[in-house]
Amino acid sequence: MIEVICNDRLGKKVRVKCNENDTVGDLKKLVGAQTGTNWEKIVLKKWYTIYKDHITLDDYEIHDGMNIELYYN
Amino acid sequence: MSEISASIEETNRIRLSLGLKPLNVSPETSSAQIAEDNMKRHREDEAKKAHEDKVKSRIAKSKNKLELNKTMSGKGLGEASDDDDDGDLYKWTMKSRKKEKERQAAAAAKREKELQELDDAYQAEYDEDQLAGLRVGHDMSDFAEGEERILTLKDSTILENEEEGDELINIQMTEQQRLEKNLENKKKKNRPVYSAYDDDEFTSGKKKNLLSQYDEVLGTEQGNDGFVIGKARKVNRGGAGGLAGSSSDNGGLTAKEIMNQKLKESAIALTYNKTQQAQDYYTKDEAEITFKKSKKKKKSRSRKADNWDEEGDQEGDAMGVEKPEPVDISELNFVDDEDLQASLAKARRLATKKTIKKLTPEQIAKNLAESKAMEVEEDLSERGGLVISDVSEFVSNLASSSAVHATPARPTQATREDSPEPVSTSSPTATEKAQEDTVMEDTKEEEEEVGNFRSRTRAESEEAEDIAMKESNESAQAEPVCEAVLAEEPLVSRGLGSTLALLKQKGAFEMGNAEQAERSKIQSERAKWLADARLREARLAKEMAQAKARDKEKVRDKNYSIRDRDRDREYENQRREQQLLDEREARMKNYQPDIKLEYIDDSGNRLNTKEAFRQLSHAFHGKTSGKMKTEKRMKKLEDEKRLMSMSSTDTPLGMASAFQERQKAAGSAHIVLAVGNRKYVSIC
Repeated sequence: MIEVICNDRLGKKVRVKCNENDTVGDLKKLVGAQTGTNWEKIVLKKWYTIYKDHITLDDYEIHDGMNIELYYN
Repeated sequence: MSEISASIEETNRIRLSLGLKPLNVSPETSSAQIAEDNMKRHREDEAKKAHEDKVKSRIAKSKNKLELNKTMSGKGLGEASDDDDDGDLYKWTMKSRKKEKERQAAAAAKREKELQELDDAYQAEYDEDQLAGLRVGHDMSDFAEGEERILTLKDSTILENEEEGDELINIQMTEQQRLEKNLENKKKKNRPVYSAYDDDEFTSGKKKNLLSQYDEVLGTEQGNDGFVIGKARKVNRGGAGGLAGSSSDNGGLTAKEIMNQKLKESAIALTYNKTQQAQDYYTKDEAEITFKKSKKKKKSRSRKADNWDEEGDQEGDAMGVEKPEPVDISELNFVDDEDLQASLAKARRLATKKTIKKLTPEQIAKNLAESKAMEVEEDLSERGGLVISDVSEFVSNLASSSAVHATPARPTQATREDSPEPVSTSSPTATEKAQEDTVMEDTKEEEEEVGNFRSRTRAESEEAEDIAMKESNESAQAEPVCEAVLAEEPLVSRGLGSTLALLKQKGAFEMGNAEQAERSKIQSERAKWLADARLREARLAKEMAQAKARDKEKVRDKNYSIRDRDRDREYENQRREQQLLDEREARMKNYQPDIKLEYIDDSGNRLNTKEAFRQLSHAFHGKTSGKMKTEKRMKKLEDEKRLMSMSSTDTPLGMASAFQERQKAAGSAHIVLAVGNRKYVSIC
């Protein structure tokens, strides 16, 4: 289990517990559930890299305590 | 900003609703952890391995060391041998030879053993079975029972070999066969083809073939039927046994063989080692074999009693050789090679003979002449002529530099000596005449001595004359210049006068300069004016005092009204003022201020116009001249300073004092300056 912090810098900062082998889509669902937003509207970014839904956190090398930028479209 | 977070249970609930796996909260069994563990294990393994290697290498090293020590044990080259008589050459040689022999024997044994082994191996492999199938080119009946024959492969071409295969033959037997055949052929050839009797039929028991005389050529091949070894094994047994050739087959040794062996044992090998090396050391026996000693040699042998000799003597005793009787040492010569010495002596004798022969009477005469010439030279040098010494060299060097300078002084000296009466200013021409005469006389005298320098001395004397005239004109009481050649410099400590004199002497302070005269005049005028002014002032003061007194008196007068008094005072004041102005004007009428602008630099040197301008300019522009220029200027100043501090009476090298010393030493009033045998000048 890892904890990832997603911040949209507009007032929402979510600490999400997830598994390493979860996909980015799963993470988005969790974030959506916790913040009360539609997960399909969520975009997770790190600098200019937009994380794709079907790829696991492990493959993106997202580790425990990492910060991920949270955007909406 | 608050952080939204959910606990594990909440998250799990959410995950369940989303249809995801629950979180795995078990302790970390991530791949990273596994990798780390693996790494750790691997490192440990490596460390262990390294340690083992280290230990192994250490063991190997120590083993190696032990081995080395083992080889190093025992006596070294430098250490004494175990024998107490290590200094004995003979024993050492013997020992070393024995060792060498042993070594050789060991080597030979080893080689023999090896060969034996090789043989054995070969023998073990190679027995009669190996020979099966080989054809022998002889008839079975040719081999006798128990006979030993060596069979070799028959020479054949490749084609033949392919056709028939290898064939074994005995060379001796084939030779014999051929010989027999040849003999037979010869017999046949000698015989006529036809004989009346058919004897052949009876003698050889063979029916003659048709034209049998031509058969012999073919007959050589006809004769050998041969047999194959493997095939006729049983029949061949006896022969094969013979081939194997072992005497053990026969059982016990026969008497003949025993004899043979005995003979072999007592046999002398005629081979000898042709390439025998020369040895450093021969024992006495060896030496006797290799060297033929002359009788003399025995006599002249060194008496040094070394063990070698003693041993030899003992051996000699044993063998009955007479002991050498003691010899007188004086007769002995300690020389090894007689012949060499003899030849050397001969060569020496020849050489000495040659040198003696060379000294012919002519040679002797020549030598004598030479020695005489030498003596003559010595005489000459003693008598006079040209002698080159330190002093002469020095003087000759001086002459060239001082010849011109020194001459002007001479005439004046002459005047002083020859005409001691004081030269008066009233009759300069007369004195000049006298001078000229004396000079002429002097030069004449000189000419007699010098001879070939007439014109020059004359010119010089004339020149000197001119100078002398000038001097006499300038100051009648001028001291003779000669004195100034090496006069004492006045000491500054003595007083101001002497200081002035010194400065004058050095040319630092010139008297009678036009500018100076002007200045002194101006100064005197100024002094006069100042005195005048002072006088006038005093007079004025006096007058003032008188006027005041008068005033006071007037004040006392009763008739003297105030108005009058005021008027008078006014008038008086006016008058006085006028008087004062007049006075001032009069005073300034012949006023000449003594102004001298002097510029002095940092080091206190007086500057001339140019230098002063430069200084001002530098001050104005705020920059100074460059390094080189400054240095140059400093050098100039330094030079001037040095020039000032130099002795004014003598040259820097103290030539004048040297001259004086020389004069004192010579005890004469003059010095002869000469180059070679030509005398240039003489000075006082």
